[in-house]
Amino acid sequence: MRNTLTSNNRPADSPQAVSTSLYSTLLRGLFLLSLSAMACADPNMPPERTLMLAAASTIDALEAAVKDFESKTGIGIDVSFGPTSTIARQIERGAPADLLLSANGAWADYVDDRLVVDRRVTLVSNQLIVIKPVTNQLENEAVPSLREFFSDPQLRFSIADPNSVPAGIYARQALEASGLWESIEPQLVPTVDVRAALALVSRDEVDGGFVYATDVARNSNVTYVGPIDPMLHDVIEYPLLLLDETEEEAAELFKFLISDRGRKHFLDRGFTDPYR
Amino acid sequence: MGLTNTEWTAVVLSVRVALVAVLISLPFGIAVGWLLARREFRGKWAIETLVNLTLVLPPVVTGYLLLRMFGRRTWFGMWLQDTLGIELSFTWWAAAIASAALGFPLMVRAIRLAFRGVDTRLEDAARSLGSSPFDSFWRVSLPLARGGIISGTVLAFARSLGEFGATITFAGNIPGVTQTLPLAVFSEMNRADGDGTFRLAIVSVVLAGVALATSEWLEKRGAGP
Repeated sequence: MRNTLTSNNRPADSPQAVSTSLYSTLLRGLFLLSLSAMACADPNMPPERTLMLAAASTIDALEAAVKDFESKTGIGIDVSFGPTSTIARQIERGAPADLLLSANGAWADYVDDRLVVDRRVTLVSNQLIVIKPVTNQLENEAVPSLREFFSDPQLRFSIADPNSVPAGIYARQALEASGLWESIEPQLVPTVDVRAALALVSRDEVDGGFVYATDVARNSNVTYVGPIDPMLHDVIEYPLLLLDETEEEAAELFKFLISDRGRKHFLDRGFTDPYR
Repeated sequence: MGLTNTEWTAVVLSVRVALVAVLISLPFGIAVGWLLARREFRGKWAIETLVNLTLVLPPVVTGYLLLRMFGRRTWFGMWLQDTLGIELSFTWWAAAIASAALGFPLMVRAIRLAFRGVDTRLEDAARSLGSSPFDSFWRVSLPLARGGIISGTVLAFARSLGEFGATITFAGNIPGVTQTLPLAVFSEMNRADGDGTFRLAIVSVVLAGVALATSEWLEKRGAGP
């Protein structure tokens, strides 16, 4: 090794040479390791768990239902919540979801038009309401009428994005039908989903918000102001879609959710029967 | 390539918010950059950590903290409301503050480097010739650090154009008021008929590219003869 040089012209036993050769050995080792890791990809990987994407407003009810299902059947389920608009687009773009619980018919149609949907059932319905923060001030004496509430230009209201999220769309339809949309629009704070709208009211960052009746359970920071007349917007419906009925576990979950036992988790939390 | 009204509004708003963000940060950026470049003191590490905090914190967390600090139910928020009649959160200003917070570490980094590169002997010479500390700073150090200051400013501007997490949390996604370009892309993406997404994305890329290229060019120029 004496008097030989490494590739960067240093004597072969100098400290720099040693660290260079150490470096190149490590590099070579890393390369081989990653090659072998790729070669070892197991063709018999365990089957993926059933994945369900669901509207944000169903989080409490659906988590309870899924827990019940898992303890009853021992089948593990992954559920991901978000605004219906986002999850529908994700599914369209190839998200490997087996079931979709949408908060309106339009987004269910959107998925239905673009992908194969094996089964579709309207699971439950809901009611839209207006809430406001519970504050220390004695504002809670007279709950104002909704029109009065909306007509104060100083007030701000949170709403799930009225262009894409079902809760916001229903609210917008009602406001448009009442002729209030133009005047209230500058006062609106659009949020990612209905639960974010709830959170803003809960933190008293806005003066009021449009949420579902089912969203306010166990939230002591908000108080009910009034209902949104269901005649003023599309019928609120939560379609449950099964995207592939050959996936046995997914099909079982679907059957469970539409059964009385599965629906009970929703009805107990204030969701209503869609066919009343 | 035509943009709709809403889309143009988002672009214009983004640029305006970024400009204001950079203008508010600049005096602080210069002060802090100079301090970190020129002075050693106990607790300097704490200042450095604080400055770089928003660089590594998830932007949504920064936005959430801003909301906690300046939201309308905080004592500062209420003070603002009572004395100045201003509500910060969910306004145009909130978007600027969020962007300023996120761009600040980048600006300080560049400015600090710039001041490091200024020969202190020149400042000593100015002082020995009778100029006050402020004068020597204003007339000698600052102009010499000009290249880095400008490049730091442009970098913070570019960062502000891309700011999303803190903005949507603290300023909200209100079209025409706080819906900057990144927020507009996000909203557009979630719509069933969201075909404006690609156009907006292209505009974002172009804006960001121009800002970055300008920053690089200015930095090279600042490197001197």
